[in-house]
Amino acid sequence: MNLLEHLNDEMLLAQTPGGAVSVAQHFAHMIDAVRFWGCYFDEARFSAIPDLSGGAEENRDIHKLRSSMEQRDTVALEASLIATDKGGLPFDSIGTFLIHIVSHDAHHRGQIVLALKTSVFDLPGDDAIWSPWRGG
Amino acid sequence: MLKEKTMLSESVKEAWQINTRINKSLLEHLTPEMVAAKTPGGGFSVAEHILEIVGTPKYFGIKFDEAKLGPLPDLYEVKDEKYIAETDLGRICEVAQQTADAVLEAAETAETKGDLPHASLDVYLIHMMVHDAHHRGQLFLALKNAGHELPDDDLVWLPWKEG
Repeated sequence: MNLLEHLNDEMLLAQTPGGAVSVAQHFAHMIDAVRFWGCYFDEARFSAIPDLSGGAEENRDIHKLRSSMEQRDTVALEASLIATDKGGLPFDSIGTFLIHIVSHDAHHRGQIVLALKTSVFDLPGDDAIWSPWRGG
Repeated sequence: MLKEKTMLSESVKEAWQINTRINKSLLEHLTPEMVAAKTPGGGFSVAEHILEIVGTPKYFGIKFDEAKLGPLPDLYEVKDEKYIAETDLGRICEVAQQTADAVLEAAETAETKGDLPHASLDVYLIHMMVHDAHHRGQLFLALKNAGHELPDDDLVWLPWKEG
């Protein structure tokens, strides 16, 4: 969320070098990945997350992305805490699923940072991304 | 035989092993020509990304087990006060595996988190995996930008679903 708070609508258009994937598309994909996999063990909760997989114009709205991401995170945590089994998830456990998701997010965040850098936008400080892990 | 008590969660241990396999597969994909490829925008080379991936767990790991993790080899040398990343893939692969194995063993057998700034050993390892993924994502762009063949997506994502 720190990264989303740093961004504005203009930055959402910045593209990954060589790949033409925009910052907005990276975020839409991050939200959609959790929605997609989460439905395997709690369709009722995860299907309520906005479906941003279509790449529609309105996905390039920072407020919509922020609220969708917040909803995604709240749903994922709540559903994981109360789940009594992993349903049809193809991961060994819900714990593994969640670690995969944070890893997936990080892969795309690394590329988002480069999209911003090569488009000459201000970058978020390193602390925004790393200090929460160290108790900051 | 009773399982020895560990501070590490089973899912974190499993995730670390998956992450280690992903890194190994990525390193096996690389060729000597690829390690010089640079992240667009004047950032790190592929070799420097790997240095970050392999060196950071050791950097933090020393804070809870200096005896086990301090002696791990480094993937850099210092010349004229600059850090020069290792480019020999054979050595990189060896040190990467040695580091990943040592970090897991140290975390599994630790009785305290020592001076780690992280809330727990679980959080430390997850942070390291997230850090790896961040650099892997950028490393992919370095390869793409230089016109090199990218590893298949399955290399990075399928191991999570195979266990």
